[in-house]
Amino acid sequence: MSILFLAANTPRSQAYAQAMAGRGMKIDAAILFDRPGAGQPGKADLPSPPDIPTSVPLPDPGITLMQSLVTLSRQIQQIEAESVNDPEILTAVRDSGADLVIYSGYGGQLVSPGLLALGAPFLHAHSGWLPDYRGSTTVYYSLLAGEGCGVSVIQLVAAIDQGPIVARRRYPAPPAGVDIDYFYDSAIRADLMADTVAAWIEDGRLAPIEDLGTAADYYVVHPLLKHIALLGLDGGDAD
Amino acid sequence: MSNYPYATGDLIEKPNTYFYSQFGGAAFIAAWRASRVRVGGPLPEPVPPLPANKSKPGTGEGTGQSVALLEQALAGDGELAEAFVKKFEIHKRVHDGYGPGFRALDRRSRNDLTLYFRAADLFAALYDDGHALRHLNVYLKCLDTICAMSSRLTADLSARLAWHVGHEREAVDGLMDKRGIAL
Repeated sequence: MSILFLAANTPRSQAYAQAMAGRGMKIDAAILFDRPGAGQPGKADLPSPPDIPTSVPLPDPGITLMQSLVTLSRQIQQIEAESVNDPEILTAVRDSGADLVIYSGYGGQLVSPGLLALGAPFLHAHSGWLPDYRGSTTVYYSLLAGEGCGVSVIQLVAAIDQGPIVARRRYPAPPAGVDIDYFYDSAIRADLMADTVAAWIEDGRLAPIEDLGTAADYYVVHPLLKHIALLGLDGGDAD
Repeated sequence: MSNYPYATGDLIEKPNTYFYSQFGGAAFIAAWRASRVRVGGPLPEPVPPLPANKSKPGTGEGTGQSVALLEQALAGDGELAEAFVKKFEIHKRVHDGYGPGFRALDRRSRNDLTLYFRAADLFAALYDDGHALRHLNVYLKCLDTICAMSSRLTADLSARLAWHVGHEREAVDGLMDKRGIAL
């Protein structure tokens, strides 16, 4: 049973790698894709870490993605590509013979049917409780509704956020002052993804949660709503 | 943050993406309010939206013209209303007409501001109806686009914008109250 980590060069991938390394996990191969100079959504250097305790460990910006990958796997391939659907990535994933792919891509990129047709399930951690919070930036909508945060690990299919849900977990709202986009959101996704993969290593199977219906789609949160969500956190600096 | 950067320029030609917006704290909310006050200051007395009119002359159902589709949506066609929400969220535009699959009949025909106002009327009504945050979200984005055009509006549209600016402020203040935010 072989695991591949298909990772864009993002703080989220950094969080995934640290969460898996922190659990002492090993994976068979990793593909890190990036095109230096390209400005894909989600690509950024982690800012300074907030010095605030959280329910889930936040990623450490001082540990690079490559440093964590080296502890996770002895087979690391770097591909210069801006998109996950680059033909070189398709070839590399096929050649890896992976039985399971942990996917952490750039924002706004959909994994092509060609990649999904290779056979291995692609796992994606969505930052929202599915099916209630489907779409983009749902963590903020969930906070605005006073429901805390949620993460759902899904097996990717061609339609956005509509693959089988293989794990879900609720998380508390972050303390005020913690960056959500790059720290808390990444941390909670990484936490559930790492646990899901650890369970797969143990059992060798994914256990889809039964179809729970559908709900409306959410789109990129307006900055004003994002601010209201953040300022409404306990201890938010609203003065 | 002293400026609100999301309601300037020609947002029909170059729409905002709103991706990864920076957190500016309470100052951001103050900047948004100030921006809307600047827009609203010179506007005439507010004029509220007209009720839905499904029998506008020359715009019968089945023509695919947005002027008719928006009236249908305002009259209670929920599926059509959600199609406009989705379209605006993705493209930040209202095209003159839509065909099968709700694809624009002509992608270049997207500058009729009266349609943007009717879309704003629709989004406001949707939010008022169920207080779904996704409807406030699209309403805010639609008003960013319109506010960026405020200097080009006719007197009639200016009066309608005056109503929307006030209505939007009430919606946002209501949400902030609910979340316990006092600024």
